[in-house]
Amino acid sequence: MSPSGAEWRDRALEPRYLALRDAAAARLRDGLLEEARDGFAAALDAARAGAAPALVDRAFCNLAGVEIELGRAPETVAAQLRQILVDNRDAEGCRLAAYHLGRFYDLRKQIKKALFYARIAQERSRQLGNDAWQASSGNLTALLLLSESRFDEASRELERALALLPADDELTAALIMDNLGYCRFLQGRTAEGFRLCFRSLRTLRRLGRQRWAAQLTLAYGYLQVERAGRALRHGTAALAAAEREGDTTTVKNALFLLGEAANLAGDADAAYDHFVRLQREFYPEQAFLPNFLLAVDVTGLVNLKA
Amino acid sequence: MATAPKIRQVQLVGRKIRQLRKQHKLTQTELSARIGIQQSDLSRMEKGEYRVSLDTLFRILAEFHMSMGEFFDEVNRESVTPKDAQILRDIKTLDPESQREVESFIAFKRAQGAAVDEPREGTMR
Repeated sequence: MSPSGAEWRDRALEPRYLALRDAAAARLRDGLLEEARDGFAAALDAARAGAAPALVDRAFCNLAGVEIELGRAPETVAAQLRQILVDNRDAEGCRLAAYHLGRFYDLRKQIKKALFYARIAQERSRQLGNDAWQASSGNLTALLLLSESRFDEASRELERALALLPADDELTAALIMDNLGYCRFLQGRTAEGFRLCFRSLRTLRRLGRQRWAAQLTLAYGYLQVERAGRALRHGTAALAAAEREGDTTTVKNALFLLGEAANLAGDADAAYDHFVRLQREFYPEQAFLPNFLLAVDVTGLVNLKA
Repeated sequence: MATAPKIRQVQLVGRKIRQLRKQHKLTQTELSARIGIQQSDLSRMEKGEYRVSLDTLFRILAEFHMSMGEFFDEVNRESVTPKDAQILRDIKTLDPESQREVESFIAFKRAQGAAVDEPREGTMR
């Protein structure tokens, strides 16, 4: 939403602010977080130089959002975002603050707090009548519900988010379809799960985006239907990509699923090797794990999206 | 290494966690604080309704210094391999008469093994 003229003390600064903000948003869409961060920081400076407080709030929220994703936001950032919510100067600033607070607590695994703020972001988006914002807030809410093992509620949120999403936002649609596909596997609706995950994978491939999350979900789905070969293929691809990008959570989950898939394929040596690697690299104090995982199927206890 | 069919037990694992927590005289609040989840979530996990990340699951197992043997009726881990557990499960599926026959066969094989290990008369040097 473009700021109105009334929000500027010095209208001459407005074009500079808009140019900086829009360029940073484009970097963010391309996944270039560092560049986006620098752009939003410059936009905040421009806003502070000549804009009204409500617009400064929005500019701050944009910068805070990227710093949260980069894992560089201290607690003081969350405190400032909460203050923006309390000040309640405008609905858009409040929506942004609530959404980023949701992500802040999500990344700290404080899921109930995160859910509280994600719901506020959803409500503000609804008040503003913006479908895309409702969809992104709904996706965040759904992911938090997934973390809480509330799979039916998560599914409903994801279905709503997909329905609201503008047709041209293919990337967000692909991410939502992956999450919904995972829900479907957990709900025992495997055929639907595969359809969603493959649509997600095809879209991500066409857009040239990282797709290890979708491949990991497919590995999980194939394990559910006891197709070990396919689970191994997708799990191996997910592991390789996650290792390249340093995504340790996916590396752990992929090693676990690969161990399960190898065991299902009747190759206990390979299964043991995956479990040993999982234990040595991530749980060095827990030497019992490889034997334990060989003997006990804990896939029913594990939530890959938690 | 041959694979043995794995033991699939969501509810059993939940029940076992509850049992071990009680054995260690821990309340749900105390254990959930130690492993970094909410008490209500631990309660759902013990009922088999709540899934957790690998990190959380392994923290719970480590909290009880759990080994496979401890997990299954506190039998020493080294004495029970996955294959052993499968043999035991297979035997339990047989009717009582068949189980007695298996026991007799095991006794026969043990006696046979002992006889082979002992040098026969006339072959000693």
